[in-house]
Amino acid sequence: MSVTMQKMINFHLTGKRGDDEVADGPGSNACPALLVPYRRLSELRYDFPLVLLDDAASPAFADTLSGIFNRLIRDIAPEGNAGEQLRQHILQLEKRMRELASDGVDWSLSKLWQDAETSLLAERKGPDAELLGNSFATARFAFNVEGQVVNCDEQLPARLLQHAYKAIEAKRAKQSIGKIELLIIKLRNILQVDDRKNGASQTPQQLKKDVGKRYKESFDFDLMSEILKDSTPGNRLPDERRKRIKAALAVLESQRFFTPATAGRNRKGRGQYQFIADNLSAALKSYEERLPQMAELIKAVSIAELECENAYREETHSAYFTRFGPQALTPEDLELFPPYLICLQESECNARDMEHLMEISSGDLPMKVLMQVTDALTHRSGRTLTAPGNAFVLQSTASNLYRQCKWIRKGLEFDGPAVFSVFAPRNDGATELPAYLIAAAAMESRVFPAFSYDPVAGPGLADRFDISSNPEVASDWPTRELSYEDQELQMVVEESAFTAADFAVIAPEYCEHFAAAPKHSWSREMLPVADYLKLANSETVERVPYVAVVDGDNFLRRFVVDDKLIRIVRRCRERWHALQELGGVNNSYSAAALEKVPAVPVAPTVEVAPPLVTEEAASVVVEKQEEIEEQQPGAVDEPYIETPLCTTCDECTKRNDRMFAYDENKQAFVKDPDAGTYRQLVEAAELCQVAIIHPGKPRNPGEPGLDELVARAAAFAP
Amino acid sequence: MTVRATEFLRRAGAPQHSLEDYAGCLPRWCTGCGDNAILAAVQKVCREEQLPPEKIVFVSGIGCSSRFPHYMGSYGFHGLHGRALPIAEGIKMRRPDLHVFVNTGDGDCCSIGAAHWVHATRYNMNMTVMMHDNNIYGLTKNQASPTSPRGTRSNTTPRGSLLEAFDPLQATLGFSNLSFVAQVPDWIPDLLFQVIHEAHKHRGFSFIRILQRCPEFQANRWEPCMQDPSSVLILTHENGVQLSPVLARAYKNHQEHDPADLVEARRIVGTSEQLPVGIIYRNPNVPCYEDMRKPDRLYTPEDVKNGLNAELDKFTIWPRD
Repeated sequence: MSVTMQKMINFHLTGKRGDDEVADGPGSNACPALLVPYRRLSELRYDFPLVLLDDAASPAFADTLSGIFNRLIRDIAPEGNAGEQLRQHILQLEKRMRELASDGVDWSLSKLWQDAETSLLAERKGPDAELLGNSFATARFAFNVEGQVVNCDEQLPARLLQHAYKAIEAKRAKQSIGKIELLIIKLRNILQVDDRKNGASQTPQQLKKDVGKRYKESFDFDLMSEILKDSTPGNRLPDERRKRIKAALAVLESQRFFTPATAGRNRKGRGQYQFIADNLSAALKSYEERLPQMAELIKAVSIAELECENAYREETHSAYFTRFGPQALTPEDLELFPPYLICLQESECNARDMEHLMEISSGDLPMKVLMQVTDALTHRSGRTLTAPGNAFVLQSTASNLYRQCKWIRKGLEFDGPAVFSVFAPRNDGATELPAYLIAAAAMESRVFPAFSYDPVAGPGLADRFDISSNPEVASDWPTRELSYEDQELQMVVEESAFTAADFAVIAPEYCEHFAAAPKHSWSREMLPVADYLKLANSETVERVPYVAVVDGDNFLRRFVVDDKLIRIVRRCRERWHALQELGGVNNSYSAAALEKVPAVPVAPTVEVAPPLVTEEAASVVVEKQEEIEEQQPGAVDEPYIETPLCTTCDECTKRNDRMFAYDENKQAFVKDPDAGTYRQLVEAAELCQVAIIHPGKPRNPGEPGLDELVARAAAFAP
Repeated sequence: MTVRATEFLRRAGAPQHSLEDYAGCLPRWCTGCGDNAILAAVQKVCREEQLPPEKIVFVSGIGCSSRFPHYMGSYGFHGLHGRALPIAEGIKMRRPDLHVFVNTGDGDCCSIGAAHWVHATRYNMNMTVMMHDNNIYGLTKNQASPTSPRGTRSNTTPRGSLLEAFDPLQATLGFSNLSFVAQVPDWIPDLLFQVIHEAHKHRGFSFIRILQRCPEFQANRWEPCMQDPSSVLILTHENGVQLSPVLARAYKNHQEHDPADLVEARRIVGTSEQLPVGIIYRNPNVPCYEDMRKPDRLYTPEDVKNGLNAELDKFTIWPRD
């Protein structure tokens, strides 16, 4: 073993770098080799920047800049050469907008467009500038999207979730406030009608006022008052009902959960409740404090609904409403109120917060929690959230959030608690790589895999748990092709796995777990981390794991990984295995069950003998059998009607309504065969258009003309 | 916003409606008329859904079928010839909480009211429309209607009608914004109930052509179909009608048909040699006009009064003082 190799093994085992050739760690400009093609993001068309759409009526609450421009190009640029110049100009504009947006400033889409357009036009002169300007004018005319432009950064998760929450809740609140305001109008109408019955509106003074100055001399208001008073109905609302309506009205008018549709209308001066918070304990406290008001509002709405329909029954309903309080609120009632959105940073959460999080995710509180994670390798919340409970759970990295918009909407609309665990790296400048790339690497390396758990998606885990948005879900690590030029400038292409150790290269706090391996010491004893993890303990002796890294000068280097980080990487893999099991991939229970199933021997091919009875013949036999079964009741002597087939045509009942009657489905049956003659039975059978009356045998042998009637009845024998 | 407590208390105190609660005046249709069967089926649907009678309104035009509102124990509007649909649309627009049913005949709907029918389909307002198709003007005593088969002898066509009969199904399957189309004979009560029930549950304009017997003026029109069950093709589907064992024994001819398939629906209606019955087309995703026209904000009585005054003021000639 070489001396350098011995030094590398020492580093791997102790985590202490020497002060000689195995002394360097990866710098801030180091990049895992597989990520190098993506380093200059503004030159690529990808999911960012995102546009948080202003249009509340739009089904989507966010769109990508590239998606918006794709649609614009499709709408205005003709296919083929005719539209090529316009396409190129629009794509240049998009690229410039992407570059401007990457500076971290808050942009509106229109302002970003304007600045990008101005800067591009300033770079051109003469006919070029004119052509470009024409293209931009054409595009601007067709462009009708507006919103806030956001990048993949530390602020993204909270901004995106709050934007989606506001869009979804605005629709819900609109329905709720519409209902409440309608009830207010209806209750006021009831009271107003009653007020008019008290005579106050029929006094000569009031009538004079109502008619107005212009015609005050035209009428005798005393006489008018006398006439109207006589015609006023006297049935006033009972005092108890009036009091009840007024009480319900007062609650509806003073509610603070929903903003009135018209500002300033029906307000009693107090502000609306806020439902977005950044503190779990405070949110839970305000929820507890508002419960009585929620119960009061539900009670008032219910009383108002019943009163408006005149369906309130004092004898039964009053006792119910007297007892109605917060304890009577059901999850269905809670769904009517806005849920709370709490945006948390995991690094700032204490044990009490984590306890609250567990309480929320296992109960049915209307809370939507965003748990933002900044240290993906050691985060706590994700592990606890994989335990299936009542809550909707979505875990994702910030880079993948746009792809998860469908699940974000589901979670926010879910009638119960929802937890969104999102990894978004800090903007602290510790690494030169963009935040998007770091977040994407966390998901790619299984450090922060994406999953969703929807408790109402189906009865079993297979329906509820989804890990399909991760790359290569069946493998431990995703693999990609790594291509580079060797010392002889020959292209080398090899398969390389992207592991949690590769992610650690770009996490500055894990820098100390790497040490550079000098080029001259590269040997077969150095193994990529993914291969090293496959070795049994006994095989790891005299071997060291490494990751491939490209430095700031674009040189491929190897960094030895210490044993402590290898243990963290192993834990990541174990957590990924647990997720795979929940997601139905490499499930150990299924594998064990499959092993227990005995092998089925393959049957030798035999010639099948022709059936003794053909299918047609068999069907005839079945039909005959059915006919015989139908006839089995054998009620051939008794008259009867095939009641389910009766068409209610009145023929038989009009002939003799004591003999024939309708059942509770208004279909005829023979009520009393002795309430008429056999002739009436036979004639009713003949009149029946659907031929479902069967007269049976005569009951009175002395009835005249029986022979003829029996012959006519034969046509209706079953 | 629907409060669970209200639902609970409504149900707890609500009377259970029987068939009699939906009965109005004694029907005065001819004995043996298929309208009696339709009336019974509709009353059964109301009972099945426990619709409050005060929340139901039946609208009709003119004709035998249009006597229907008189025989229901609910609100009704016996309108003008061919104008049942615009009246029903007005009711639905102003009172979307009501269950609106329309009874119209082949003359009322396919002739004088045809334009209203086309546009009512397009508007797709949530109502159940039953077209009682007896192929004749019966109330006015035997005149050929648009759906009378060619050669029908009547008071207006004593030598037999010259034109081919109008096919309401083929027509309606060509209308825009179609939402629900069914065909059912009045003489298969189970099927009639199922189709009207499904039509009522469908949110949108549910059009049912009911093949109706007229024992007075078209006595033999449907006789072959009634005598020969194999001439009827029952369309079944999990989203359509299902056959009871009794019905399955009586009617051997049935075919699985997905009501979502418009092309297949047109093919069946246009080419089938048998009489296709059941739900022919259903699309629950067509938006309803009353939803589209729903105002964004609630208008208080004061808003309405001020709006009306503002409109009327435009035409006021102020007297000189």
